Amino acid sequence: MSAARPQDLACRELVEILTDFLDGALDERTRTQVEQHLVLCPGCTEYLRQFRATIGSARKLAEEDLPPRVRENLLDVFRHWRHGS
Amino acid sequence: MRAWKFLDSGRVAPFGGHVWPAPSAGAPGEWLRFPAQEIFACRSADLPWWIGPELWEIELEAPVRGLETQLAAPGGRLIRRVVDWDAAALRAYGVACAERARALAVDALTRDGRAEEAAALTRARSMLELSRVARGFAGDARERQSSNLAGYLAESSMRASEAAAAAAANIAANAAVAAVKDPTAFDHERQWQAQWISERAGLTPVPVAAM
Amino acid sequence: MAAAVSSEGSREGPDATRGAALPLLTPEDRALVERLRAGDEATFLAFVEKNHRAMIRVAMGYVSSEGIAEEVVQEAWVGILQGLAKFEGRCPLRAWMFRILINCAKMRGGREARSVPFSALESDNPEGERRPVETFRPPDDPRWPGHWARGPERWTDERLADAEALTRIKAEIEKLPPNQRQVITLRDIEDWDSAEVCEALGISEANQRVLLHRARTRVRQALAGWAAEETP
Repeated sequence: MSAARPQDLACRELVEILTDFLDGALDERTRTQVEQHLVLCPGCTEYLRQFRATIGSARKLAEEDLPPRVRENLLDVFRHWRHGS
Repeated sequence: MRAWKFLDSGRVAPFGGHVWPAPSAGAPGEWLRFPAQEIFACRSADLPWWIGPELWEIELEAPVRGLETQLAAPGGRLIRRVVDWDAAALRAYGVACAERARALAVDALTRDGRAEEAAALTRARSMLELSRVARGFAGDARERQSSNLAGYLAESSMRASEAAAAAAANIAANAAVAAVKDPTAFDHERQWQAQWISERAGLTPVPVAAM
Repeated sequence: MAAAVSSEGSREGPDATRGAALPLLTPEDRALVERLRAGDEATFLAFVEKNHRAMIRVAMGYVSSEGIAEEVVQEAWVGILQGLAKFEGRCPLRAWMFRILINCAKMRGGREARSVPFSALESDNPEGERRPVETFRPPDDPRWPGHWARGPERWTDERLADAEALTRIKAEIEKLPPNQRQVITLRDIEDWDSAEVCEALGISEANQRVLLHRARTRVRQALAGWAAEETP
C-alpha cells in the first residue's frame, strides 16, 4: 500500500508551520513545499485563508480611546513630572 | 529568458497577492522586482505543480536559477496571456487526470476478478457519479490494492467534479504510484500531465537556456 | 513614586536566535521625545492613547486583574517620564518603554502572587462551547495519513464582516494564556514587527513565533467553532 509521497507535507504538518511561512522564516525548500501543497489542497488553502482573516480582523481591535479617568490620572502624572518631582 | 507562469484571476500572484502589470498594445508588462523576494516561473515540465486559472508567458531577468520544480529570477515581466488556458481547460485537465485514475482502478479490479465493479466504473458518466460509485468499492482499501485504487479514483473524480483540478491531478499521480508500487511512477504521471497541459494550452516550446 | 527604570542596551545575554539588530531611535520618535521633554501635553496624551491598550494587555500577563494592570501602567508612565531625561535613543523607544512596564508588572505581580491566585486566565475549553469537527486522518490511513479527513468549513465574507466576529476574537484573545496573549496583542493587534516584540518582551525570535502561532491557532479555531454553529 502506498501513502502520499514521504517528501510531501501532510496537512497536519503544514498547519503547524503557517506562522513561520507568513513571517518568511522558512528555508526555501520548506517554503516551496508549503506552496506546492497549497496548490493541490483546497482544505489547507481554506485554512490559510481563515488564518489570515483571523490576523486581519485582530488588527481592527487596535483601540485608541482612553477612558476619561485614565486620561485625567496620566495628565496629573505628566504635570507632576514636568514641574520637577 | 522566457518561461510560463500561472496566476490567479486578475493577474494576481497566488502567494504574494500582488497584481502583475499587464501587457498593453503588444508591449510586455512592466518589470516586477522585489528587494527580498524572487520571481518564480515554470519550465514546461513544471506546469503541473503550479496549476492556476490564468497562464501567462513571462520573461525572466538574468540570472535565472533552476530549482527542482521551478525557475527563480530577480525580476520578470508578462509577455502575453495564453488564451487557450481558461476555466474550461482547467476543468478538462482535472477530468483527464481523473480518467487516468479510472483506467488504473478498472484495470486493477478486472485483474482482481471484480469484473462487475470494473464495469460499473466504466459505465459511470459524470465525475460526480464516478466518485460515488468508486467510493462504494473502496471499503477494504487496507486489504486489497484494487479497493485502494478505487479509493484514489473516488477522491480524484470528486475533486474533478468540483473543478479542483490540481487536487485531482495530485491524487491521480499518487494512484499511479500505488498501481505499480513504484515511486518513479509519480514523475512519469507528472510528465504526462505536463504534456497534456502544453498541448491543450497550445504552448510551443520556449527556449530553455542550459543551466 | 519610584519605579523601575530600564537601562538602555541591557539584554539578557547573547542569543543566537534573536533577529537582526534593531535600528536606533527613528526621527519621529526623537522628535516625540523632544516634545515630551518640553512638556507638550497634547503630544503626551496622543502618545499614551496609542499605547494604552497594548500596555494594559501586556501588564495583564503578570497581574490578575485589569484594575491592577491600570495601576501598573500608571506606575510605568512615571518611570518612563523619569527615564526620559537620560534616554539616549540607543534602542527604539517602544522597546525601552515596554521593558520599564514589564519590570513594574513583574514587581507588582510578584507581590500579588502570594495572595491572589490567577483565576480563569489559564482555563481551556469552557463548558458547552461547541468545537468545529475538523479532523486529520490517522497515521495508519492507507492513502493520506495526516491529511484532512474533514477539512475546515468555508467562511463566507459575510461571516467575517459580522461585528460578532470581532467580539469573538477579542474574547478569545482575553482567554489565552498570558504569554500568548501578549505576543498576539503586540504582533497582530498593535502591528509591531517581530524584532520589536522580542526586544520588548525579552524573548527569542523562535520563542516569539511559537507563542504567536499557538495564539493564532486557538483564536482561529474558536472563530471556526462560532462560524460552524451559524451554518444552517
